Amino acid sequence: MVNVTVEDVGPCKKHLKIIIPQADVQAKVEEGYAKLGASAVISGFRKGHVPRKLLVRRFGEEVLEEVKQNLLADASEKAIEEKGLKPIGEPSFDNVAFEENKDCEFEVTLEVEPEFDLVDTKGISLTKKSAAVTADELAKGLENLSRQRAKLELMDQKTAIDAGDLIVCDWEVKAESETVADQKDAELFVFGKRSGGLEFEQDLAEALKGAKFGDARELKGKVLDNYPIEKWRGKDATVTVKVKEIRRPVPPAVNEEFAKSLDFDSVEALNKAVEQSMAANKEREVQLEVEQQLFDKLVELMPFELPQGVLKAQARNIMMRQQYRLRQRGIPEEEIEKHLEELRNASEEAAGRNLKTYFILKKIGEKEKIFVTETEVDARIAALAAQHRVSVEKMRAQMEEENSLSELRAGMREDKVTEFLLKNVNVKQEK
Amino acid sequence: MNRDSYMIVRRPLITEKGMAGVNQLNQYPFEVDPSAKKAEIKKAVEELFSVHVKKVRTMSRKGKPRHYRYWKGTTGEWKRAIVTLAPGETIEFI
Repeated sequence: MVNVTVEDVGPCKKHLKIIIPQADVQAKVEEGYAKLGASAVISGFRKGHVPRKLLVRRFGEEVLEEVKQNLLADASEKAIEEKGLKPIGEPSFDNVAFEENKDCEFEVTLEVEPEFDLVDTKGISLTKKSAAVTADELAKGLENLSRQRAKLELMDQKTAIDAGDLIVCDWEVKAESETVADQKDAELFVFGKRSGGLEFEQDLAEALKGAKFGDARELKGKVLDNYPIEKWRGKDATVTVKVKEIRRPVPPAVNEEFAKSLDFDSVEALNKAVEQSMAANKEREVQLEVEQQLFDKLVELMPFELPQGVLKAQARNIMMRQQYRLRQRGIPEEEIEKHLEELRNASEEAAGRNLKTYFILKKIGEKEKIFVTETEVDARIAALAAQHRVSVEKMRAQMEEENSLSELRAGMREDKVTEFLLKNVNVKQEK
Repeated sequence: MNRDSYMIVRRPLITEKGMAGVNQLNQYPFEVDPSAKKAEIKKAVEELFSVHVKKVRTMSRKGKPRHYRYWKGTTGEWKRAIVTLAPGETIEFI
């Protein structure tokens, strides 16, 4: 009979002292040797006839190590079950005293799910914004669509350069009074600070603003560190740009012709389709916002402490994802370093909110007996397979390989609980 | 001829059959030098394991025939010695 004492050592953290009696230890050791003896192949002996002494001498350390690991895992699992604890994360084992023919004593520190009382959620009231698309929004949507289909048109010689233009120019780069590059009829997009392996002091739109056909402008900048010719890297440079042609993206007018080019019968049909698509997007956003409001209210109504280890691990994950995203967006490393503290605080806050929502939804799900059936899981996998254009079997196999099935189940259960809660709270529609 | 005890006693024969002798009759099997005499084996075992030897029986084993391509030969000849110890004495070799 395993002897267990439990002690609280912080929010959601338990310290277990476990003693396994000598008889149990010895029984496991004997079992270990019996198992090994039946299968060990040693020259000079038939299988199962190797003397125990020889097994001890040759494999003693390995057998004891294996017995120890099994004993620790089994005993801690039993102790956790016996004491009704709900562990999360990996437990840590300390002060393990394990020897043959002696009591085995060890300590386990583990984090458990937070304990809190559920509050009645029926009194919660939320506001839902209107998902209707206004005339202004529709106009903007159509404008965006037309801009996406803009064509570059050659401007007359009196036109001055504006941001977003594409110009054809003669381009000469000089550094330390030597020519770095000299290119005729180069195409240059008037946007941003970087172009042709250089970083300019001013934005190109700013520096070239107002220049017309035949004008020459001198721009100051620095050669970038990844410039193909090493000797010019990091050097100050002057670029002479002589404008030869200006092409400007001109969006087509939203008319019958435009509608037909997009396979619609009329402008009205196009308007209707754009409106529908925008309304669907807006509805999704509004729904997400209502859900977020609900989660915020739940977290506010049920305050409790979170297990610190899990919180830190989650926060670290979120922070790493954020850093990755910032790097992908081309934000320099020094800039990220500067805001590291801010990023860390934001990540911890987000992780705390997410975890609290997770625990609350889980507990509500358990109380209300909301479960996800295998049929529902199958249907979701089939939907995912159709989305990714692979067979259902392949999708399932891939998810099993990635161990993401349990995550999928947990996510689906959360969705069901959210749906249940939203049905039972007061949602006020804003006009 | 005075030979080192390690040259005479080559290795204990740790086998299922050998262990039966060890457990039931206090007899220990060894592989010994084929030219070793019983008296030499007795002295060597007593010196190596600090025990008293009551009796030594020996068996000369012929090498087994082996061939490799066109070459024919045998494995080496060897000698097995069964050493009976004085009652109450043991050798811990496993």
